[in-house]
Amino acid sequence: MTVLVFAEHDGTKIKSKTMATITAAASFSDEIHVLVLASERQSPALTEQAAVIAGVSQVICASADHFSCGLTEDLAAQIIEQMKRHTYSHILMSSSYLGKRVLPYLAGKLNLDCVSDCIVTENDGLGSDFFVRPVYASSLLVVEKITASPKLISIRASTFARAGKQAIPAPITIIPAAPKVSAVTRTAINKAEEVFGIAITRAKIVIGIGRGITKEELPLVEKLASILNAAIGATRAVVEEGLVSSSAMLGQTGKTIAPDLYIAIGISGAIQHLAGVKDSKVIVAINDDLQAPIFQVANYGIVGNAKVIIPQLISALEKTPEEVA
Amino acid sequence: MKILVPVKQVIDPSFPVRLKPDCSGLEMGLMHLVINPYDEVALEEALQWREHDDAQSVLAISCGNEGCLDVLRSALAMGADRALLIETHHAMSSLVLARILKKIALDEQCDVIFIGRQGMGSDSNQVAPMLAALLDWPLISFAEAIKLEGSADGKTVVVQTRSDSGSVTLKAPLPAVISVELTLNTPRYAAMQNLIKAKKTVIPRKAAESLGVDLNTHISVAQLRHLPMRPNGEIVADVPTLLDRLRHKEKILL
Repeated sequence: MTVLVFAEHDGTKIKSKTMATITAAASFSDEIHVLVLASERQSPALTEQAAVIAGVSQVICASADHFSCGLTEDLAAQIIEQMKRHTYSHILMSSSYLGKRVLPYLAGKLNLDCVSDCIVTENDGLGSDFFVRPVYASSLLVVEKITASPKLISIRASTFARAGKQAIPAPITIIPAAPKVSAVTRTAINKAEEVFGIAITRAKIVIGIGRGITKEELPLVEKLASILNAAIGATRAVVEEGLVSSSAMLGQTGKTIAPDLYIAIGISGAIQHLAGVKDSKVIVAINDDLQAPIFQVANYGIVGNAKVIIPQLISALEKTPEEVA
Repeated sequence: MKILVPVKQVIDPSFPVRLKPDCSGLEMGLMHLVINPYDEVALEEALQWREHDDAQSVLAISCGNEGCLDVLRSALAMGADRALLIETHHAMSSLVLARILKKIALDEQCDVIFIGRQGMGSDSNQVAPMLAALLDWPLISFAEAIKLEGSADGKTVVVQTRSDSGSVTLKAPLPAVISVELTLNTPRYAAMQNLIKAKKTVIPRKAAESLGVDLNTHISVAQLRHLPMRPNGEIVADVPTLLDRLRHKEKILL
């Protein structure tokens, strides 16, 4: 059994989503191939990185300029090429925007069913055909049975630890690039706005704001965020009011995050919002209504008005721990 | 130009879903079924194209049991020209659905398919890419703004899409499959007289088995489960207590 993991990257670095996907892959097999598709210029650095990710037994690389556009048809065509060279038991990608389009497209081309957004690979002894994934905006789990082979699975990266490093690099195999097939062309890229220079999906601490925060309190939130070195996210309602940009929207229709600490301020906790933040390691809720659903998922809660609590947090955090003690 | 818009019937996402005590299925008693909000956005886009004379007709299609006639009626009331029910009583995988939609898209000679990026609830994001793959049409996923452009060798679409690193603008010739985000537009409300008219419309039906499409599937739902409970949260009295917990118990803050 060999698992093929598709490497996601930004042109210079393999993404942490891929490291987490490799952790998931390791639960299926010891034999893990990582497929790196990039331009000629990008490939050497990327393959070198992929080779030292713990658990990787072989790096496969095809280089062509058209890969750097990330078009679905081109990436899928090359995966299919690789599948002709080697028999795989599983094909894995993370369930990023990229994975959400490339994996089902590949499934369509191969006439195979596939599983989206798998969260755990141990399945209570049900067997290797069963996969668990969240449904209904992550309010329930479904166990899906898939008998197709190979198994095409996208992995919710935030639920897996990132694979570490290995001392002995895996061998790198260069394969010829399949010709460009996509009729689509990429005409522009607009980088996401980053709040305080911290990408919300990478920030260790994220502060989420909801309806309980108005324009008046926003400077306070920004100050708290800069002290904590946190990114700021928001619910749909806040984005629609124009308080923060839509790239900061958290939840089912926005981003899914899994920081070490999520501080929800003035957020009631609608399921659509919780879907995007549930994987956070620790959730702190600050809300003046104890009945708000956010308290049911929070590890710690403070019942109180944001206007009062945020300044208290700021002044307490501005003191050093020694002073507090 | 003809536009195909597949519409799925889903549980109203504004209400929380509950499992039956024995986990055998969902507690349907209080559930209200609606048109998938993502598909509603796809339909609105199609209707706007028709209103701007970019398209001549909009066909709404749904696959499932008779209950799906309701979402097709909603689609007609919003302004779809025609509706079609593909009748089946079997649970359908994304791949089977994509096979059926391919057949209809080709039979009806559609030029573009607008479809919600996911079914609200099943949240699997599969049908649009599978359909594009089966048709061998360009795939444009996660559209947030769509512009139609004419050119000598046919029509092209220029689409602003969501990606992992921000937004990306893609250009593709038609025919194409375009999956849409909720942010693309705000769907219209159907007027009361249109709702009444749609109620009386006889919607054509075709049996899925009659299409000559492979209905076999290799994926099925084995069980539904509750989420593992988070450890019971603690309501702390004040900010110093909170920071103490984060520093000393969770070791997150310095």
